[in-house]
Amino acid sequence: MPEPESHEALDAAVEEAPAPLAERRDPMGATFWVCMGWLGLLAVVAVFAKYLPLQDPNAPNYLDPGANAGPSLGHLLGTDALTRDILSRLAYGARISLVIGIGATAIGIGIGGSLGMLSAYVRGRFDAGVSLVMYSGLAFPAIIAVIAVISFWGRSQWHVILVLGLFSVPLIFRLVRAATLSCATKEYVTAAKSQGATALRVVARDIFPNVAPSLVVYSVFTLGGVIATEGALAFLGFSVLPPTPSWGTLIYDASNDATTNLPLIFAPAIAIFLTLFSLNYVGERFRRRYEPLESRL
Amino acid sequence: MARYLLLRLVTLVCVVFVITVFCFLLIHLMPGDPATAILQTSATPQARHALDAYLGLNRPLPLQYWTWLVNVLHGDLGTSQYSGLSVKSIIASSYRVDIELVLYSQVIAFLVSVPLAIYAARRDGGKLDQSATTITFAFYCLPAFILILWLVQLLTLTWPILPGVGSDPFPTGLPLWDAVLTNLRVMLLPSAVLAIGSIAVYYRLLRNELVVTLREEFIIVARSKGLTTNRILWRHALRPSSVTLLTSMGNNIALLIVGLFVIEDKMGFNGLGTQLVNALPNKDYLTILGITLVTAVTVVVVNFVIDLITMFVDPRIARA
Repeated sequence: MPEPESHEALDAAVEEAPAPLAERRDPMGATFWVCMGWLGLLAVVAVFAKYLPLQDPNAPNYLDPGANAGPSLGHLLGTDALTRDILSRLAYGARISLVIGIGATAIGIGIGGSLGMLSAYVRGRFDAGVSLVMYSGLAFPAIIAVIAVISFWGRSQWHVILVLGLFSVPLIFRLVRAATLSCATKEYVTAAKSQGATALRVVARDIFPNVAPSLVVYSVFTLGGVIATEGALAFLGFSVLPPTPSWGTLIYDASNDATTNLPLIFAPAIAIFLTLFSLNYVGERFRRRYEPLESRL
Repeated sequence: MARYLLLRLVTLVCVVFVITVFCFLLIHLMPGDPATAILQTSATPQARHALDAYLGLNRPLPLQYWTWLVNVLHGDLGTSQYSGLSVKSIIASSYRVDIELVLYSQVIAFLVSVPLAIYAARRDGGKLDQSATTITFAFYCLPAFILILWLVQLLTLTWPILPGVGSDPFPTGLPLWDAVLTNLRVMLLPSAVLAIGSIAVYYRLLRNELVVTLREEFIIVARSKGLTTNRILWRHALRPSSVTLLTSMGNNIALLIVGLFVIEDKMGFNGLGTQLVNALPNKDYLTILGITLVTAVTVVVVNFVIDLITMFVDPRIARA
């Protein structure tokens, strides 16, 4: 978008604008709300899994339906090879996926976001140094860090959160840095600076509110990315310890047993697909609303 | 332009340096040590000390890193402390698998996404545009580890059209042409799975850029000159629209290389990721460092080449 050069041009541009932005917003659409519904359902199940009429995810049912039983009223998705209820393992798996996803995203957005804003605002050597480290993080084989942390501290969801969070920092850093660069040269930043505001104050009071919508968008995408990566890690045996269910471990179990138990093969994969689809779709809609210019890139 | 390239090169060398230092620190932070991994826990302390001294592990860490760095700069990656093979030979035997996977998948991704984006952008919001956008988006939401699992089951077991898990992608003793054909057939499935993620990203970026470019004035000029739509799309609109695509490619390939292990593991390929995961519990320090170095250098070189191509496509970038 060309910058209006004079006040006259600016006034003309304002008059030409068809309607205030708020009125021109296109509606989010039905798919968006279906996606939000799925994410909401997931959150409710993850938080209240204990209070829902679900079995203990690790409790066996040796006698009643037995191993690899088909769907029945008592077990809506049937049971797995160890006679555990698949639906309840899926529900508790949602808990692991969401806790890891949200935790890692919080680390990524917290560190990557603040460093990105600060780096783009301060510029100079600080920026060069931080950018170099971030760029290196992108090319670093994350599997080394995963195995190092897991063999050092043991397999637990907190360690997975830490590693996945740290490895999502470089991508977020790059995006936030680029977003900040475009608003760090605006008049209101110069005005704040000329009043003697410190770098931290400018970043917190003037830059953050302008970058915040982008941060929301990136965190939605990062959440999806982390959930997928956790699935892959679990699939390789590097995530939470069994018998704790996670979607990745459920898929791994199904593939390992060469089972023909259809719910066991498809239910966790469909859950991952629906969640990633919802997150990516919601992120895309948010982006179109909050970053109309960037969303075309 | 030379200044720009030089600056990029210096940055990239620094990146490789930072990565190796980080890797060095990380593997020395891990519990256990090579002597224990080789001699098992029953060894006497004397034997362990002797082995440490022999491997040079009793010296201060900075000195150990320095020795490794000097050797690498002389072209010597060292000998695996665990298997006794030279690190170079370990890397040489598995590197080609990963290189081919990445190249093959990128070729597939380009062959699919570029024409798709061009024909979708032709009618912004048309039927092809909408269906291509929806389908690529849906595939983008299926993680590679699920796709490879299902496609292996479907295409090598249920309907055995493609060679199954564990086939050697580099068969020996076959005539050249047969070997190439076998290789392409074995690599097709994993490469296609890797390509699917890239297709979604490339398609979307290129399509969106093309839609914007097609509204520019020089396109109207080209149209009024009477050029055909195809010629305008391929010869006039593609080049200015591909800069974002190229910049995202570097990132995408970096993520691809770093995450190759899942595919190698599932296909039974002996790639760098597999070697790395095997070397980690054995505390095979030199192999781990060597593989990390090669991975980092590959990512960096790919990024540099992409920078060069981007500069060729849009010369304004180097001048800025």
